[in-house]
Amino acid sequence: MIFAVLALMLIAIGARYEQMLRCRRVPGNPDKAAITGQVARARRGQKIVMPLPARPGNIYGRGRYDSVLLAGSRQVPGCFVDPKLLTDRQHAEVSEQLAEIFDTEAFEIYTQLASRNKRRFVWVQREITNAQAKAVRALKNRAVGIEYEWRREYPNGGLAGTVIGFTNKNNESGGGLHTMLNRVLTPKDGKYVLKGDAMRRPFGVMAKLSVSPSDGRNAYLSLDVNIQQFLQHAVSESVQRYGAKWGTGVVVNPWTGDILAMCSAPTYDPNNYSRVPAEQMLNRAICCPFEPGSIYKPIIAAAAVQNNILNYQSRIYCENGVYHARRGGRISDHGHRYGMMSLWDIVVKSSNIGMAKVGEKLGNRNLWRLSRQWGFGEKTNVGLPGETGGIIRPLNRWDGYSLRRIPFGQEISTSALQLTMAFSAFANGGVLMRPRLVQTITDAHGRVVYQNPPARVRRVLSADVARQSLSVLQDVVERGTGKKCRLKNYTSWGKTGTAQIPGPQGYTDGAYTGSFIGGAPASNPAVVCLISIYWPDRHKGYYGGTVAAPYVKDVLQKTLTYLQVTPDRPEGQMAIRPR
Amino acid sequence: MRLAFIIIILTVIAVGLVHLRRREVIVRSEIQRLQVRHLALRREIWDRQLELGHLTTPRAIRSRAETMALNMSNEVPARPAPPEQGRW
Repeated sequence: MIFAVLALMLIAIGARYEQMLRCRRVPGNPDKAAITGQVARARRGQKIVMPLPARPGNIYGRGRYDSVLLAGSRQVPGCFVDPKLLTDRQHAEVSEQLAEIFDTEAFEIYTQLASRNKRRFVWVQREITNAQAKAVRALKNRAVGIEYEWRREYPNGGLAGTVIGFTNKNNESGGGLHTMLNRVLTPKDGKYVLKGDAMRRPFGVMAKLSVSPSDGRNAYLSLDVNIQQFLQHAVSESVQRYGAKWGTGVVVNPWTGDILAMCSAPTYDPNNYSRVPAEQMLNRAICCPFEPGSIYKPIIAAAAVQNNILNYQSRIYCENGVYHARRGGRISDHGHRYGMMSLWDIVVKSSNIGMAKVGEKLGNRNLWRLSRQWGFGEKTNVGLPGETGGIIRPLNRWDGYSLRRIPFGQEISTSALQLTMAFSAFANGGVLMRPRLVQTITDAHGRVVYQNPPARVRRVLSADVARQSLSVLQDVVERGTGKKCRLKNYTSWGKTGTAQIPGPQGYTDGAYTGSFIGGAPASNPAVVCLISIYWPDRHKGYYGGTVAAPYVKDVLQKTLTYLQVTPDRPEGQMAIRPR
Repeated sequence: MRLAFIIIILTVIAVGLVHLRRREVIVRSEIQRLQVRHLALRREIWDRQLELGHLTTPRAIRSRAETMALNMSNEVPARPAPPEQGRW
């Protein structure tokens, strides 16, 4: 009897199984869709998915002894309610309980729940404390739950804010390093899939569907938080004091191309990105091209010497202060009446007429070629989004004006970073380096997965010409326009620049960019620093030697002390003029 | 006799299977509990890491040094330049 019953059951199961198989085999069978639909629904009902969140990667800067966290993420709890599971009376009860925990008005919560009582998910309070989350859990109410959300935090606040960028609440990057390293920092969330019974009690694991979480990778930058602070403080102070529209600054290690600091002022705190206007988030060191003005002179002078067109002792007549060039307009030395001068002195005294004549000797084609060779007109490939390559017009649009204006930094636009990298070539013996911001990328376990070595772009000067050029720039600080950048214990070098700001109708009256770029110690440069102040109030001061040089001095002095660079000049002593 | 023997064997197998199944469910539930604990610990680590980040910012260190009235040295020590600054 038992055997007969068992046999009948086996036959019934077998027949059902065969029917299912047949349904699957015959295409277009109407039963197939129904059965597979039922099966799929049943399987879906069985599946319990437990999300395993993975953390986005951190961004670290350099500190005095160790790395410093610049951007990191944590999960913060939030409280939600499923209003559909509650009656109207329960809405009121829950509202009172939650209001007590979150120290808010019960009426507000009740209004939220009552007005959305058809929904299955309503946020009551986001970003709550762990203690509050614990209190919510203690309510043991099925309709009230805790959901975690990612929050990106920037422990250093506004330090390097324009470089780092931000991510919004949906983990979407909002510029800066977050956009540059989006693929690196983005984690891959995992999931743990379980089989559950009708009561949603798990009884098995669906191992093939489960995925381990993979945290985002961490990026280690060349930015040094202390140097960044020196620079940011200096630039902000200058912008504030001289009522400028904005300012920017860069500090690099000329030997490796490491960007030690990069800032814009006004800056912003990525922790409060939503309250800041978009233009304040710009990294102006790479995004905003400006006419460099006299800062450009040493580059063209060095290029002329390098190409054996002139040497630093070559003498040029500077027309006693006013030069009417044939098809080149009027050029003046702003009240200075220079006669015959060496190329050395033309750079030291910053003579526009002298440099216009250097341009005449070089010719349009050479000027264009040399400017491009120094990296102007193309991106530095630092990797940050929104980088400008600056503006050098095509050669066929150059005329007699260009020939005489470009050598003293007009009719050409560059970014602050481009200029800093170009001047680094003077400091490192003539090599144009690629700027480096990201040094290393490690995985979540600290294993290095990517190392970014220093990269040379090309040699632009011979070591000898670079040394001579550095001596000229040292003389600018000793007896030229950059006296305000003389340091106490170190020999330094640099160049001032005061450029007019072009508008739609030619140069804007009273609008200038005051810049200074310098480095120290001159005997073995450790750092190069540029500060540019855009459109300062002309009544307060606008010359590069006024609005930028003292601040570059401040940054250099602090940075060299911080880096423990050996002083190379006894206090008060003039550096020997290495002519 | 043979039938009784088969029934006993089948019963033993069934009991064994039920026991195994029970153990499996217990282990799976333990795994799930550990997963939840693991996630909670990871959350705690992320929290601590950020708190440490907040505490070790130069700004925080400076403010602590000021509060504790520590003497910060500004002397320039005589030490050679970092080794990476070689000449090309």
